[in-house]
Formats: sequence, C-alpha cells, structure tokens
Amino acid sequence: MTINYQFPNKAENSYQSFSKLIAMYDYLIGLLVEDVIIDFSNTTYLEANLSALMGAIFDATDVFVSIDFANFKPQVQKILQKNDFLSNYGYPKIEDYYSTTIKYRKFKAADNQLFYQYINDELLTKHDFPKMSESFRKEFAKSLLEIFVNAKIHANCDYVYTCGQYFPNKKDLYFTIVNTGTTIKQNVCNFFNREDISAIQAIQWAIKKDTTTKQGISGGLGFDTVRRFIGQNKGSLQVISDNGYLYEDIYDRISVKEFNDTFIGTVVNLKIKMDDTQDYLTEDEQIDEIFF
Amino acid sequence: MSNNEIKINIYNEVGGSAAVSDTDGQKVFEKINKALKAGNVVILDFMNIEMVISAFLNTAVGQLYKENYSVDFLRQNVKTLNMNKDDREILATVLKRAKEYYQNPEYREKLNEALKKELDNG
Repeated sequence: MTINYQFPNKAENSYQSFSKLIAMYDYLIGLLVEDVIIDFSNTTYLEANLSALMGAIFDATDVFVSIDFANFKPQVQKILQKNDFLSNYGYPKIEDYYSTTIKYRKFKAADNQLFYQYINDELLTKHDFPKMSESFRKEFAKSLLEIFVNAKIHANCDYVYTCGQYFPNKKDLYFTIVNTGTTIKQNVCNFFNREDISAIQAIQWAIKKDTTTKQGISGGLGFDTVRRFIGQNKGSLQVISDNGYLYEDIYDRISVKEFNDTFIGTVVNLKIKMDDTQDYLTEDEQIDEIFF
Repeated sequence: MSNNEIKINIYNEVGGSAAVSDTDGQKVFEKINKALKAGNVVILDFMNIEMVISAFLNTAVGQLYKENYSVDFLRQNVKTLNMNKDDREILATVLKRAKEYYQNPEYREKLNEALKKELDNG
C-alpha cells in the first residue's frame, strides 16, 4: 500500500516546525512495510539547514518503509538540490552560484578530520560570506567540532548529519548537527540511575559547565564552549533531544518546552551572526606557567 | 630509568590538523604515560595543528592526574611545543578541571550532589 504523508507547509528554525518534523518521524517510525510518498505540494518555504534533520529522520525510518518524494514547488526542490540533499535520493545536483547553502552531509561519527575539512571548505573560506576575523573563524569551528565529536562520545551513534543555510539579508547562518544515537535524557537517567528525569531537565543539566555523563573521565566543557561563543556572537542555540526543546540566545537566558512526540536522537541547531566584527582573541593572561 | 626527551608529534598521532577526538586523545595519553613511566621527559609537539578542543585534551592530558603523578613531576616532565595561545588557554581550563576531578573525589561528589539537587528542584 502507498501512503501519502503531507510535509509541513513551512519548515523554519522554530519550535513549531521542529514539532511538525518530529511528528513526521513519530508517524513514519510507526509504519510497517509500506511505500510512503512524502508530499511537498503544500510546502512553500523550507529553511534548508533542516535537511540535516530530514536526512536523519528518513534514514532512521526507511528500515521498514520505502520513502519517496513528490510534488515539490520549484523553489523548494531547487534549494534541496543546491545543498546536495536530493542527490542522495537520485536527483541531479544544481550549482549554488550565490553560495548560500552549506552542503548536506552524512558523516561517519568517527570522521572528525573529514568534518573539519568540510567546515573549512563550506563555512570558513566562502568568499560570499562577510569577512570573518581569524579568531571568530576559529571559535566558530571549535564550537562545531565540540558538537560533532560529542555526538560520538555521548550518543554513541554511527552517523552524524549536518547542513547549513546562510540568509544574506539578515546575515544569519544556521547550522544543524543531528545524531540518532542515545538521547541526552537516556544518558542523564543512566548516569544518575533514575528514570524520573524529563528530557527538558536532562538537556538543561547537560549544557551546564562541568556536567558530564562520561564515567571516570573529566569533561563538561564542550557545551560551555558553544554557549559562550553563541552568547558573545549574539546568536542562538536550540537543542532538541527525546521530547525536550531548549532555546538559548543570551548566556543563561533559556526557554524550554516539550514536544508531543519523541525524537530518537539529538539535534543541535546554531544561529550565528555572520556580520560579527568582534575580536575573539584570548585575553592577555599569564597562562604559560599554569600547566599542571 | 632513562631520562631522554620523547617528542610526540600530535599531527601524526591524530592524522590531520584537528586534534579533536577522545579516541585520538586516548592514543596520545597512552604514549605519554608509557614514556613517563619509562623515566622520559615528554614534549607534545603541536606543529601544524590548527584546532584543538577539550574532548581531545580531556583524554590526552587530563587523565594524567588519574595516574598519581605529582603536579611538580608533571610540570618538569611534560612540555608543549608549537601550541598557540588560545589552545593553551583550553589546555589550562581542561587541566584545572581534571585536577579537581581526579585529585579531589570530594569535589566530584559535591558537584554531583549539587546537580542532583538541581534536577530535583528543577
């Protein structure tokens, strides 16, 4: 039997859109052997960095179902071809002349050198982006690498899905990193040997400095690196894991919500202000003598 | 016991210019530890490394505090070379955190208790 699933009308970097995409995941994962057509006929706007989440969802759900796409509006199909998302599903690639897309990629979780190469090629050396200072570039890359590497450490996942989109009018760049491994809630519940911790509580705990669910090894600095960078850049951070959603713009100004449905993994979505001319250089501190 | 200088080239160990993964960090830690136990001085050479993050340093050097080396011993026997200033800052943060974590079990318990409390109240 063929099932038609209506893709959301709009897919933006918002709680509402994440909620709809997670509802789609929840629906698809509940199907047994079926052919599913994802129908984009009502989709008029799609923020293309969300391809990372779409790729993770379709990969996680096509074990029992066969997924196909249909009825794209030209502008939606075009952006998904430009960012290489649709080339994974047999569509031809299209050249991105304005260089606003950051290509969709599925990395093996251990491929950190390849990921570093990708962010260098796709993000840090693009001529069409505002000129970035060396220190900004480095802090940005560091944040992305912390998220990427921690997906393997904590989620114990096989693959990490990434994609970005630059919006030249606002000078905002969204970059999304998704894994379908152990959720933050599961990790925190296991760490405290409790079952009564909600996804929201777990995410709030996990992003704090010095918290880590790694056993027998120090850590807890990764998310803090990201949050300090986002805070200074005046960007924003969204974390989605299980049925929990967290949004932070200014450091420690956090809002949280629950979804009705549950996602199998974790999404970290960053908004970066690309017209940032601040200097991110380390303050001149006496650090030479403090090793050990 | 020998007292040679052993240079560990981080670029070669991690296979690229980004020293980021805990797995590579573990490999480097085992090399440092082995060299120290054999009585050598270890030089960590970061030549050609463009990027270092805490996930790598936690395992590569943070774990040295687990091994009961004294702070003086580590100061005298583990050195860095060609590491730039902001990477040294991350190293300093990682080492401070590791020292508290491994050498002060009470700190770990207190931290976990405080966080547990926060979860219960939150």
